[in-house]
Amino acid sequence: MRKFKIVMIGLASIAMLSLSSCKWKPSEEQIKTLEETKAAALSAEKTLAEKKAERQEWEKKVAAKKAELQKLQNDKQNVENFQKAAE
Amino acid sequence: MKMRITLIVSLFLSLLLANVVLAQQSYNYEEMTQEQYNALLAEWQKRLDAAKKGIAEEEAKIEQLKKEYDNLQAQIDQTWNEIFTLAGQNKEQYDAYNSKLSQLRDDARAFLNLSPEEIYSKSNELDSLQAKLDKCKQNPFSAMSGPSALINEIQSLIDQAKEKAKTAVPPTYTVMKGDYLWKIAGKDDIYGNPHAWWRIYTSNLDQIKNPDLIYPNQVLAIPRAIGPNEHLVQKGEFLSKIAGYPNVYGDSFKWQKLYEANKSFITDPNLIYPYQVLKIAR
Repeated sequence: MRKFKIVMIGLASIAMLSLSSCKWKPSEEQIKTLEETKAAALSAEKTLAEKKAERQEWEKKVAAKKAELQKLQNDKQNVENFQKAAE
Repeated sequence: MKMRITLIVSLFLSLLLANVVLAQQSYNYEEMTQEQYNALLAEWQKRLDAAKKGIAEEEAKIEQLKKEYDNLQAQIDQTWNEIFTLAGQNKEQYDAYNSKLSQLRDDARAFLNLSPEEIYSKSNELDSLQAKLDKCKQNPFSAMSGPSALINEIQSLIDQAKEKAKTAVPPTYTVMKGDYLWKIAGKDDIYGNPHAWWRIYTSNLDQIKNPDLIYPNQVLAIPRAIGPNEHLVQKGEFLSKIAGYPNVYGDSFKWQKLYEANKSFITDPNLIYPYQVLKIAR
C-alpha cells in the first residue's frame, strides 16, 4: 500500500512536471513579429487618419475655389452688362 | 552601510528595468495559447493591410483634388484676365480702385462718429465724399460683387451721416406779439443770452431787413451749429484776424473778401460784434 502511494505521488509529480514543461509559449522571434506587426498597423492607421484629414482639407480648398470661380464668372457677366449699358 | 545602500539601489533599478521590459510587451505571453497568438497576429496583419490600402486610396484622391485645384486656379486666372480686358484696366488699377473705396469707407465711418453738429458743420466735406463715391460708381469694377458691396456700405454710411446731421439743422422759432430779437435770444430754450440776437439776425438776413422790425408769425431759423462756410464771431476777433484762419482764407489780407460777403450787416469793417454769423465766400 505504501509502495503504491509512493508510485502514485511519483507519477503525479512526473505528470505535473511534464504538463508544465510542455505548455506552448511564443518564441522571442514570434513575440517580436507580433509586436512589430501591431506597431506597424497602429502607425499605418494613424497615417491613414492624417491622410483622410488632408483629403478633407483639399476638398474644402477645392470647394472654395469652385465658389470663387462661380463668383468671378458672375462678376465678369456683371462687368460685361455694365459696359454694354454704358455704351 | 554603503554596501546596503548600493544593494537597495541596485535592487530598485533592477525592478525598474524589469517593469520597462515588461511594459514594452502588450500581451501576457506567459498565458497566451498558440491559437490566441495566431488570431492576434492575423488581426493586426489585417488591420495593417487595410490601413495600407486606405492610405493608397486617400493619396490617390488627394492627387486628384490637387489637380482639380490647379485646374480651377487656372480658370480663375483666365476669368480675371477676361474681366480686366472687359473693363479696359489692369490688376494694379483694380487694386487701386479697391484701396480708394476702403479709404472712402474709413472716411464715411469717421463722419458717422462725429456729433450731429460737427457733421452739419462739415456737410460740404460730406457732399465731397458723396461726389467721390458717385465717381467710383462710374467705374466698371463697381459692377463686381466685392466693390459693389463696399459701395453699398459707403452709401449707407453717408446716408446715415446725413440723417444724423439733420438733427442739428437749425430749429425754428415763430415770432409772437411783443417779441424782439434781444428778447428771443435771451430765452433759455433759444440761446439764453440776449447778446446772441446777432446770431438770429445774421442767420435770417433773407427775411429780416431791419433787426428792429420783426413781425408776429415770422418763422426764424435758430441755428445750433455753425454751417459750412460760416464763422461765428467771438469776442476779440476782427475781420483780418478771421480771414487769416486756415479754415477761412488763411490770409489776413483777404479780410475785404469777408467784408464784401457780409456787407449787408457790416457797416464799418472795423466794427464787428460777437455772435454775428459771417458768410465765407469761396
